[in-house]
Amino acid sequence: MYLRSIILVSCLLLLLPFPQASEAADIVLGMSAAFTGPSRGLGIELYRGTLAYIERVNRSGGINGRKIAIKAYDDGYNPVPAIENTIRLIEKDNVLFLADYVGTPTVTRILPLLKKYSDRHIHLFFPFTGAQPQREAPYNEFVFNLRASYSQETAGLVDHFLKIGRKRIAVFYQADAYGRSGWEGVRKALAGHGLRMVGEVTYRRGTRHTDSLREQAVILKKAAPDAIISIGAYAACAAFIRDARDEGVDVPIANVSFVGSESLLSRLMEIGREKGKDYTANLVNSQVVQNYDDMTVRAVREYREAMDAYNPMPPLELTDSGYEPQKYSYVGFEGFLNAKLMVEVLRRMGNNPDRERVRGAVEGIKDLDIGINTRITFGPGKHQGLDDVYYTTVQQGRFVPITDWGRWSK
Amino acid sequence: MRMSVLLRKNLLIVVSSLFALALAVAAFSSWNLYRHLTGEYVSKGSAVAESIANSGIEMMLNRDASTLQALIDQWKEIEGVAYIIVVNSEREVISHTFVPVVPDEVLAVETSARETRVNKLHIRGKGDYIDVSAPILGGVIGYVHVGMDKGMIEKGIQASVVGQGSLIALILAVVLLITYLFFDRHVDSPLKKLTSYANNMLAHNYSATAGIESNDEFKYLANAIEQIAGHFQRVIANSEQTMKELSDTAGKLEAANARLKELDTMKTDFTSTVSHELRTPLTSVLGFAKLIKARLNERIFPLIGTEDKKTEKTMKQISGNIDIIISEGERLTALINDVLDIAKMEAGKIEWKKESFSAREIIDRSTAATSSLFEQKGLTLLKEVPDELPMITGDRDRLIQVAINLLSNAVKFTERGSVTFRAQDAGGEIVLSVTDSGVGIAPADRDKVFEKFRQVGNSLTGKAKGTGLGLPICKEIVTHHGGKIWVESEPGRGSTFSFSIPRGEPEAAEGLSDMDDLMKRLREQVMTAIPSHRSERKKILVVDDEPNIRELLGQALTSSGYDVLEAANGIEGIKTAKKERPDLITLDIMMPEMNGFDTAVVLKNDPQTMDIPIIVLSIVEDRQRGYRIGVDRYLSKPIDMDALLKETELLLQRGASPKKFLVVDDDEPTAKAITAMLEARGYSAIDSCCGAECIEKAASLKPDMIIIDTVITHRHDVMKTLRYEKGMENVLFVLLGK
Repeated sequence: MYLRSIILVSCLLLLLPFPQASEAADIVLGMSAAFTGPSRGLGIELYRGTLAYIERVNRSGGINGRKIAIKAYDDGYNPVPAIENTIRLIEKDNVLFLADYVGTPTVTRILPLLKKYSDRHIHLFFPFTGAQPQREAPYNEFVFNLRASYSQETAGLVDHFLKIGRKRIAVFYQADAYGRSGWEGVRKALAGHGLRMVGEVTYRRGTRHTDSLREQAVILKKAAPDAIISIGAYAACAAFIRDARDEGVDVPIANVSFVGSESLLSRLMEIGREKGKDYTANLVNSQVVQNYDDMTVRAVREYREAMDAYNPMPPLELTDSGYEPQKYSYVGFEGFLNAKLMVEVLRRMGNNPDRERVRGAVEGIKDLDIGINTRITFGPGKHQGLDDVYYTTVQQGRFVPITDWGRWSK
Repeated sequence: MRMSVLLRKNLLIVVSSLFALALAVAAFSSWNLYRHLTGEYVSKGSAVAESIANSGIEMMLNRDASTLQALIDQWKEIEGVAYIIVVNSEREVISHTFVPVVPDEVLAVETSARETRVNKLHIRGKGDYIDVSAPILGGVIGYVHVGMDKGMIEKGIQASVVGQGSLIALILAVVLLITYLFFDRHVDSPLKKLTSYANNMLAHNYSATAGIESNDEFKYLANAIEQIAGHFQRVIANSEQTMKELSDTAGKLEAANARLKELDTMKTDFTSTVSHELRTPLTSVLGFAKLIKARLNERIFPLIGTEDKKTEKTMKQISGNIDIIISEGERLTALINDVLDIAKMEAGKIEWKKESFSAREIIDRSTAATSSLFEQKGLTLLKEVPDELPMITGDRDRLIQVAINLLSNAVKFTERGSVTFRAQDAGGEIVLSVTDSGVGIAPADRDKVFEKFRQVGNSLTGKAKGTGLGLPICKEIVTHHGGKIWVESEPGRGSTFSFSIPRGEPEAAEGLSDMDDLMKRLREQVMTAIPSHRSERKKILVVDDEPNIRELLGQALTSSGYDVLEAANGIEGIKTAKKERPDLITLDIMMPEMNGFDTAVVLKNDPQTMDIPIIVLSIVEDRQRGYRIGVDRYLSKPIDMDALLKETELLLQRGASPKKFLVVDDDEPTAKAITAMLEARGYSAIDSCCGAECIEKAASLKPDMIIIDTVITHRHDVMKTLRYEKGMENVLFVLLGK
C-alpha cells in the first residue's frame, strides 16, 4: 500500500507539476489520511464530509472571492508516509494549514514536525484522533481539536458499564499509539474506581476483516469479561467481533469513535450475510458528534443537504477501486463540522489569510454556534473545541443513540 | 558424445574438491556471519534500548502512553528489532509491541539497575531472541527491553549462504564446463583418437594415422606409436613371408605324409593279402602232408616188410622228410599268423576284447601252456607271485599270449638252469617279468629286440628260430593296454623281460558282444554232457572255391567216416544243399559268384536248409557278422583239422537231438538277445525274466540247459530249488556273471 501510494503520488507529481496553477485555488489546505488500505473508509468519509461544506462555500463565492481547495495525500494509516506527506504539504504545496489528518500513530509522529516548522506557523486542524499527545504539551499549541478525546470516550464507556454492573472490563486494542492511548484511557478510568482491566489483547495495525483474530478472542474469553472495550480500526474490529461471537463471547463489545461506525457495520453485515449469522447484537459505539439522523439539529440538515447536493468524492488517483461510499456517516458529519469551523477561521482572517494569523483567528472564537447543540470556544491554552460523547447501538441495521443502558445490566 | 572414463573421473575429482571447498567456505562464512550478526544485533539492541531508556525518562514522567508507544513503534521498525517493551519499576507494562499479549518470559528476564544486560530468551511459540535490557534512570523509573530476532540472524545467514551457494554453483558450473571442454579437446579427444588408432593396429590396419595435431605429450605418444606401427608393419610383412614359406613347406610335408600313410596302408594291405594268399596253399601243403603221413603210417608202411634194411631206411627217411615238411609248414603258418597279426594291429583292425579278470589268470594259463617246453629242455620255472593280485581289464587271451611269448623265448635262449616268473603289484600297475639265465643281450641290441623282423644276436652265427615277430607283437599288445614292455640284460648272465599293465577298474562285461565266450562255454558244457556215439553215416557238404581245400577236407572227413559232397561256390552250394540235404555244411567266405556270408543268409532263411548246421572256415575274421547271420561255428584258416572234426561231431550230435534252453535274466533285452542268438543257431530257447517265472517255466519245459544270471540265482536260490525240489538234478546250469 505504502509503496503503491508513493508511486502513485510520484506519478501524479510528474504528470501535474503545477496542480495549484490549473486549479486556480487561492486557499489551499493540506490533508494526509488513509485513502487506501483497511482504514480507507475513515479518510474518504472525512474528506467527503469536509469537501461537502467547502464545495457549498466555494459555490457561493468562497471566502472573499477566494476559493478553498484541499490538497490531500494518502498515507494508508502509516506513520512514515504521513511524515513525508506533511513535509511535502508544508514545503512544496505551501498549504495554509493542515487539516483532517486521520489516526493516532500518524498524527503522533508528525507532531514534532509542527514544532520544527513552528517558525513557519504551521497548525494542524481537527485531526481525526482522540489521542492525548496533541492535546498535551509540548504539541498542543500547534494543534486544534474539535472532537472529544479517547480518554473522554473510554471514561464514559467505563462509567456506563460499571453503572449497569459490568465491572470486569477487558480491552482489545491496536498495537500502536492509538490502541495504547485507548488502553491508557480505560486503565485510568478503571483505576479511578479502584479497578483493573481483567484482560488485554493487541492486534497488528493493518489487519483486514478477512484475517483471523480467533487467538485474541480465545485469550479474552478466558478472562471472562463483563464487557470488552475495543480500540481499533473498523476492519480489525469487525474481524474480532466475528471471532469473539463465534467463540461464544456474547458480552457487550464497545468501540470508540475512530472505528467509523458505518464502515464497521457494513463489514459486519457483509460477514453476517456470508455466515448466515447476526454479528450486530450487543454493540456499543461511542461517538464524538451527534447522530446525523437527528434532523432537529441544524448542522445535520446542512450536512445532509450538502451531501445530497454534491456527494463529493476524493480524487480518483488517491484511492483504490471498490470503495462503496456511505451516504451519511458519523465520520462524514465530523468532517463537515470540521469544515464549518475551518471556514469560520478563514473568514475571520479576512482578505489575506496567512499562516501567522491562523492561531489568533482560532483562539478568537468564543461561543460560536455552528448549528450543533454545543457552542464552541477556543482560546490561548484552550485548543479543545468539544467534549461531548454520544453512545449508540445497532438497531435495524443502523447505529442509533442508546436510550436505555439497562438492557445490558448485570 | 559419450564421456570417457578418464574425463568422468577427473570431473568427479574437480566437482568433489570444489564441492568440499564450497562447503568449507559456506560453513566458515556462516559461522563468521553468525558471530558478526549476533554482535551487530547485540550492539544494535543495546543502542535502541539505551536511547529509549534515555528519551523515555521525560516521556514516562510527563507524557501519555501513546507518545511512548509511538516512540517504541518507531524504534521497532528498525530491522532485527522483534519487540520493545517498557515496564515501570513495579514491572507493570507501560508500553509494548507484542501481539496479542506480552509473553511471561519477557517479564521474567533479569535486569540490572546499573547497566545494559544481554540475555538469551526463548519465547514459547515464537522463537529465540536476544533480549537487551536497559535501566531507565537506574531502574527507578523502569526498564526497556529490546528483543532482537535471532530468526533474522538465521535468515540473514541463510540468505548469505544461498547467495554464496549460488555463486559457487555458478563458478562450479563454469569450471566444469571449462574442464570438460579442455579435457574433451586436449585429453579426451586425443585419447579417443589413440584408442581408435590402436584398434586399427589390432585390426592390422597399419596404414592409418593417429591424426593428433596438438603439440604435446599426446603428439609424442602418437608419434611413438606410429613408429611402432611402422616397425610392426615391416615385421609382419617379413613374418607373413616366413609364414607363407612355412605353410608351403607344411603343405608339402602333409602331402608327403599322406603319401607315406598311403604307402603304409598299401604295405599293410599287401602284407595281409600276401599272408592270406600264402595261407591257402599252405593249408593244402600242410594238410596233405599230414594226410600222407597218416596214410603212410596206416596203410603203406604196414604193407612193406621191414626185413629189407634198405627199404626200412628209406621208409624212415620218407617219414622223417614228411615230418620236416609238416614242422616247417607249421612254422610257416605261425610266421604267417604273426605277420598277419602285427599287420592287423598296425592297421588297427584287431578286435580287442575288454574283460575284467585277475592277473593271476595270466600267470596260471601261460605257465600251463609252456610247461611242456620246460619239460622238454629240463628247465625249472620258478614263480615269485604274491598271494593277492588285483583285477585288470583288457584282452585276456592277448595278454596271456604276451606271457607265453616271453616264457617261450626264455626257454628258447636258456640251455640250463631256471627261468623266474615274477609278478609285482606296483601301485597303479601290475608288472610281470620273466628272467632267464641265458646268453643275455648286448646293450646296443636291447631296443632292437622289439623291432619287427629283427632277430638279435643270431643273425650270422645262430640259426633263426621263430618269426622274429613275437616281441613286436607283445609290444603292440602291451602298448594297447596302456602298459610298457622293456628288457634288462647282462650279456652272459641272462635277461629280464618285463611288462606292465595298468590296474583296471572292473567294468561290466560287454555281455552280448562277448558272445564268442559264452558259446565256448556252452560248447564245453554240451560236449561233456553229450555222450559221443554215432548211429549212421552223415553227409557233409564242403563249399570252397579252392579245389585243393575241397580235396583236403574231403579226404580228412571221409577218413573220419563221413560222406562228403563238394560245391565250388555259394550258388552251387545252395543248390546242392537243397538237393542232397546234408547233415552239415562247411563254408568258405571269400568265394566268387556269391560269398560265404550271403550263402549262409540264404541257407539259414530257407525252411529246407535252415536246420543244417554251418561251420564257417575262412581267413576272413568277422565272427560277429557270422553269428548274427546264424552260422553255428566260425573257424579260421589254416584249418585245424582236429578242431574241425570235433566241432563237426558236436554239431551233428546236437542236430540229432536239439537242446532246449531256458534263458533267465532280469534284464529283458539281454535275455531276448541271448534267446534270439541261440535260436539262430538252431537251439530251442525260451526267455524268462525273473526267478519265480523261471522256476515255473523250468518245471513245465524241462530244458536241457538253463542259462541264468548269477544275480538271480543268488537272490532266489533258483538252482537249489530246481535241482532238489523240481527233480532236475541232471539239468545243466550255465551261470552268467556280469
